[in-house]
Amino acid sequence: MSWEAMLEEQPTVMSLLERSMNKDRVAHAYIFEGKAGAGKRETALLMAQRFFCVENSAVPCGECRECRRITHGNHSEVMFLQPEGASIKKAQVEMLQKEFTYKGMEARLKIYIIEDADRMTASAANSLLKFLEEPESPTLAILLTENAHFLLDTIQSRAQKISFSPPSIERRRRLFQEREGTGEIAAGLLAKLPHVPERESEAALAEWIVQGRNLVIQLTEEVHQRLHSALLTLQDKWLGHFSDREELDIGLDMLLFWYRDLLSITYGSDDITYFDQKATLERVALRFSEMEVVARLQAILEAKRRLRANANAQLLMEHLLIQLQEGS
Amino acid sequence: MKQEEQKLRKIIHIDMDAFFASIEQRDQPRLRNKPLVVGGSPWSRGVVATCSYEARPYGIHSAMSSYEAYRRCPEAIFIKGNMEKYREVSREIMAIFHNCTDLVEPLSLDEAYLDVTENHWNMPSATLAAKEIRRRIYQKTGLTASAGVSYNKFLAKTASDYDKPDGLTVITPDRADAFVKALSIGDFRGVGKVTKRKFDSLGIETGEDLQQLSEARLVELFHKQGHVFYRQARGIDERSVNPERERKSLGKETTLSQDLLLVQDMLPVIEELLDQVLARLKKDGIRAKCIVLKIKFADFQQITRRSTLEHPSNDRSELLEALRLLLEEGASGGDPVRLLGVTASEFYGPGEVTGGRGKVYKTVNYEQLRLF
Amino acid sequence: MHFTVDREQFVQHVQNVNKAVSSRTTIPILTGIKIIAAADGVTLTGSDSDISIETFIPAEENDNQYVQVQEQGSIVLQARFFAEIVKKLPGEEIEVVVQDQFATTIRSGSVVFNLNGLDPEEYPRLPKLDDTNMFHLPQSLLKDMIRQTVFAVSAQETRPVLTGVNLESENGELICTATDSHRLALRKANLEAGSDAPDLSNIVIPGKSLNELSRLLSDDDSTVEIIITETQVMFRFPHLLFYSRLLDGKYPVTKNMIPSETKTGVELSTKELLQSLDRALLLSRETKNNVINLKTLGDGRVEINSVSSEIGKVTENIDCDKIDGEELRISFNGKNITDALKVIDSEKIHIQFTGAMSPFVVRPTDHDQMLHLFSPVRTY
Repeated sequence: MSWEAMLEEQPTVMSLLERSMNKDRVAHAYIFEGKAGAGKRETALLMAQRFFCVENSAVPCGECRECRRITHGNHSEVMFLQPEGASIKKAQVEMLQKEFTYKGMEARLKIYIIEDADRMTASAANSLLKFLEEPESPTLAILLTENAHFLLDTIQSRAQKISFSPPSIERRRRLFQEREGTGEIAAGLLAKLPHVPERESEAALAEWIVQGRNLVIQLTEEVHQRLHSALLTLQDKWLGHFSDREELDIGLDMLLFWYRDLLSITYGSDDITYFDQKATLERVALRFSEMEVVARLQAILEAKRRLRANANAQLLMEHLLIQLQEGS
Repeated sequence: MKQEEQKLRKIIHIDMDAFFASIEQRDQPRLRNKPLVVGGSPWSRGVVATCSYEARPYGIHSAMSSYEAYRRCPEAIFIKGNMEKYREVSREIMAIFHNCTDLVEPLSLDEAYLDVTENHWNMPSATLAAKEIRRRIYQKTGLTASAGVSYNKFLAKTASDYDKPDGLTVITPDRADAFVKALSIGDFRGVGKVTKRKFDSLGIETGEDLQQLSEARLVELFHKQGHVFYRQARGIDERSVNPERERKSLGKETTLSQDLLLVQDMLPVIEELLDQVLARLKKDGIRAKCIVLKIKFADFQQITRRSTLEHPSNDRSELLEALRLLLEEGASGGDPVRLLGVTASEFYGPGEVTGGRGKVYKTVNYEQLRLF
Repeated sequence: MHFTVDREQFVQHVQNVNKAVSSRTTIPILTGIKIIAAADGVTLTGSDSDISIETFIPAEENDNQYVQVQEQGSIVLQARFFAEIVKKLPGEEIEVVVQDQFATTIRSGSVVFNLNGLDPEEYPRLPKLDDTNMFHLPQSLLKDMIRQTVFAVSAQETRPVLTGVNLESENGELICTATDSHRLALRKANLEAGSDAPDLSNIVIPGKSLNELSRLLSDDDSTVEIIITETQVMFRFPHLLFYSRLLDGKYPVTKNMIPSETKTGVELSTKELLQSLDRALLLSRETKNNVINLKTLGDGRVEINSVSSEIGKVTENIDCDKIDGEELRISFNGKNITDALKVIDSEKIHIQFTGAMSPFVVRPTDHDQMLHLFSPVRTY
């Protein structure tokens, strides 16, 4: 990703970094905190490129030999650390430290980027700490994490924290769509979900989402016409598909998106999640007033709240279906 | 020593009555005749160190959580206590013991064994010596102590418990058997909750019941400890009063200010405890070969995990790494943890490389000097 | 890129650079060997980032034609496969051709291999040669200097700068020092007249690199050029360049550690002392402390003894050529002494003691180019 594109995605972060680099006020350690997909790693790479780019302009070119080497992990002065297995181990930090006992192979500045820094074992983090305290040569450390609170306090206090905004839905959609076996429909839904469940593979996740989406379409069709069919679908399919609290919460989100689409149609907006259902949505939208749609949205939100309060899943869903049918 | 010679020894066990609480009641008249708890505040997750006799009918006892004590007796007065003062009083008491005999084995600030077979007061009667000690303690400190007198440690200690507070119980060799028979099984040394349950299931309730079990059967049930039970049931205890009883272990523990879930949050606490233990080890110039981690969970379930090192060590990073592994093993289940403890044991002196067995030559300590 | 090369020459050069390639690198491109074909010949480079080896196959040398370059260019090929492949090719000559997207064809006799290459632009740049800090030494002398110092570097990474040998120059002398803070080995050499005396200080070369270099050094008087840059040191042989990164950090000033006074002086046979210590170490090795005690006896002998609390005790007296000064009892790490005695080629040594708790110096009696300094062990 280019500097400009990143500036568009994370304007606050990028202009902050740009300012400190222009003024030569780069900290020796940063914590980049933000959700997956927010562009932490790309930003760290851009920062490194900015230091080594042969073009030496305000923005790294991304094309020159130095920029390419950084992108491909071939730069001897830009090092990466990432979890081996579940965690980043002490031996890995020690390897890194050993590298720093040498004079640079090519340049004076050395940069290291630690991905999932919160997954350092305690002893790895302690080793790193000593190193953060007393860098012997010009060093830039960038620690990437989804949650800086999981880092040792002492590490947090030695680094400048930069918070990334959550990735835009559009960017999330693009990232999901780049995944194995994830089509446009699944990516569009996944991008909008606040939490993405764990599945054995990315393809399996996409498959699960698409099936869930079909259930939403079936349920919304039935609930407004034949409640007993909807109750049957609930029993036969819905509760088996969204089999635990976390999954059911996602099911409710997907249901919520459908009714939100009804509102979008009413307002003539293009932001429609179930874009291939436009005809059906338009037909249903004619039957409901705006207030009636809002009442249903509220019912779903209330169901989500009750779910969090440990309500029985089946009773909660049955109750919701009745509300969706009646609109009160 | 033969059995008969054993019976000629004269051992006293002295145990101060509600030591910390009595000192406070002595010094603060407003606390007298009231249920008093010395220890942590009920709101700060502390535990009861001692409580006054007035508090005991409510079921309050030491090591119970202060909150539980509060629940049982809301009108109790909770005070934090002043260890410095208690240590000072303890020194006064210990001075009295040493005035009587050189063979004093302190068990804690307020408790000690004395071997008075021969004593500086030239008293042939251990009972008289015990009386004199109790008198001097009261005169000097205004506090009462309970004493047990017998011919070995086990009986003396059991006796001091028999008539508490302010009691003196003597068990002569001819009365020992009857005394042991009458003990309830929980009074025997080494009988904790688990062992008690095992005895209960066997229908063993008293010393007399215990005497019915053969040594072989006891060993089968309790391994090494079986021998000890067998001998205790017959009033035999050959341990001598050891004035220089070596510390077998050294530990520090702390109740957390809030329950912790994550290993990484517990580590700083462990580090702090380790540093306290290490400070002591280093002062004494000793190294430990075994390090033990204690974890008490929020539901008061307690586990200990130990790690034996390759060599005795007092190296911070080495011990910390061992503790970290124990912690990850013991506390990564995600159950909230309320107390953490670190104990070092199996001590070695500065020059000892292996255990002290069969040394022909004197151990010499080495220190490689540095050029710079 | 397109060239044809003599197979035998090529195999040998590939093997040389392959010594520097490690499979355990964090930099993907370093798993490869870089090949540059230019008008005058072919250059090969291998590196694990700590050390790098660059060799050159000239197009022509001594009337032999080794390389024909049809098209200049460069490529990086996976060392693991490439080195194996060239060794097993059947023909007299090997033809290497790079097409689009770094696709490489290797042809020999009737065999054709197609390999996916890597972008040579991404290969690290080694420092440019710069003659300002250059000097030369006979290879055999450099080999001796390495052998006589490198054993004393620290094996611990706690003070990284001590894992290397320090180079400095003074009054036309080159001084190599290695120390792990308990013992120190120092070796000097006169730089040949005529070579511009370089001004060196705090040049610390990793012990590991020097051990590697040592294998390339011959035992004769042919010279090797040594070039120091800001971040690396280079050793230039005919057609081969050996690079090592330098250690960062301040090397301790060792000059004032070497005592000048003598309280007890002992002169004796190197070999006899070495053998005696080896015997005494049989016991003290067991307790892992290697502590040996030495005391002067009144009759021109010294006693060496060692005590192990588990096994027992050993005592031995050695005749000395000369003992002067105060009586002495001292303990030391015998292993450190034998390490040093093994690299002293002289028949006799002189030991300069300055007291039981102070460092002592071991020197050969026949020249002053070498010394070994030790701190004793305090017993209590």
